[in-house]
Parts: sequence; C-alpha cells; structure tokens
Amino acid sequence: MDIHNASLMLLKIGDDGAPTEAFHTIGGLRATRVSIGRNPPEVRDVSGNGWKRMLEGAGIASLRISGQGVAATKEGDARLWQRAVDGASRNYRIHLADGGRIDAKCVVTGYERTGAVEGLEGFTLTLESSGAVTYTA
Amino acid sequence: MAHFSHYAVQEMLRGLLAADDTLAAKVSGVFDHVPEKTEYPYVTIGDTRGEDESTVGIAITRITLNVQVYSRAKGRKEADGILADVHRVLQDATLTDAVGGFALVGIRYAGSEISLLRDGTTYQGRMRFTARLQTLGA
Repeated sequence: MDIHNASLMLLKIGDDGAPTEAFHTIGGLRATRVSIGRNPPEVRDVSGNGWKRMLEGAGIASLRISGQGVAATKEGDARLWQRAVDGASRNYRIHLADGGRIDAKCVVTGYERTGAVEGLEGFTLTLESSGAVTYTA
Repeated sequence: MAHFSHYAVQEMLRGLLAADDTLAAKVSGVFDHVPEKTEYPYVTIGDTRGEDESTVGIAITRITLNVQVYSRAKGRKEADGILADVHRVLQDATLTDAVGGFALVGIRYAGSEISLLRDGTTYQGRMRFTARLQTLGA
C-alpha cells in the first residue's frame, strides 16, 4: 500500500496553445480538492419495500475542483481572473500524487482574492467541469 | 531547494538597522555578538524562530524575530526612543535586493516591552517582528 505526499498533487492550467497545448502548474496552492458528484434519479416503487433506490447509470455527473492558496504570480493570477470573467470552458489537468491524471474542460465558477492585513494575499478558486472528464491511471 | 537560514535573515535586518543614520547616531552599534566594552546604548538582534508556510512551487518561511535595546540611561526614555527608531526602520521595510538567496516578502511589528534588568541599572527593550521570506530559485 502506497501513501503519497499531497504536495505532489498539482492543478495545471492549459495555455490554449495549438496544435499542442501546454499545461502550467498553478503556483501558490496550499490545498486542492477534486470531487465528482452525480445526481441519479430516484426510483420509487413498491419493489423497494419502502427503501429509496437509484436508477443505475443514469443522472448527470460533474467534476468540481477547488483550491486555496497564496497569490503568487501576476501572469497566472491574471489568467485565472480573465477566465473567471469570460466564463469560457478551458482545459485543466490534475496530476494526482499516485501518478494518476484527470483531464477536464472546466469553467471558473468562483475566483476570490483574500487578504488579512497580517498575512499574505491569497486566493480561492472553484472550477466546474463542462463535458466529459477523463481519468488516466 | 535552499534551506531557510536564520543567519541570512538576521544579517538582512541588522543591515537595515545599521544603515539608518538617525538610529546610528543614538547607539554604539547593532550587533549579533556584542563585543566586550561596548558602550551603552546598543541594539542586538535576538532570537529568531522560523516556521514553514510553503505552498505548491513556493518556499515560504514565517519568521518571528526579536530585536533588543540595552540602555543604562536613567529611566526608560532612552530605550523607548531607540525602540521607536527600530520600529520606524523595520515596520513594512522592503528590500529590493535578495539577501542570501531569500527575498523579504513583508515584515510587521508584533509587540514590544521594556524592563529593568536584575542589575538594577540596565534597561532592556524588546521588540518582536513577524516577517515572511521567500526562498528564491526554489
């Protein structure tokens, strides 16, 4: 059983380059979270004997990525800000510490700059997938 | 990734204090190790404590550092005046040049006190600052 250091978990942002898109690590992150959600339809009939059942394979799945960290690079921060403003879906990539990789087109649904006077200027970021998500082990 | 250096920070701050003419006119020096027969009043750089605040791709250390003032004037006025200069020099100080592989991100005043030492004649003023350093090239 292998355990992994969370600092190896990297969120990367695509640069929209063509024909080959390059992915750059978003620097300054302290915490990164990736979650998949699905809302399957409920089946309510007498065969359930009073217990809720889910309709298998149905429903809408989505990936949600959130991160929190220190605002670090003017270029990277400006890019996130721009994407938060224009709302277009772009490519993002997450390298998991175990070597896995998640690729998804995402929309920035939340971008926040925070500052407490005795600390460092920070940011929080929320991305929601738009379209299929691929996982590569 | 370079290891955080207490000495580099200390020298960074000692340099800032020593370069201030108003402070220099009031004290015999700013020291790490105080030479024998140094005349009062003087300033020393005291204990430092570093804590890691690194993030993805950026090595950051938060440092708590102490500056001490020693005075043998009658009463606390002299020590207080020197502490005020230390505060003026270090509060929100910026360094354009990196020192010892580190860049000073920010420095803020955290607290101070003045007390009469047990010899009954020396006043010690202490001032604490919190600074953040970024390791360059990390």
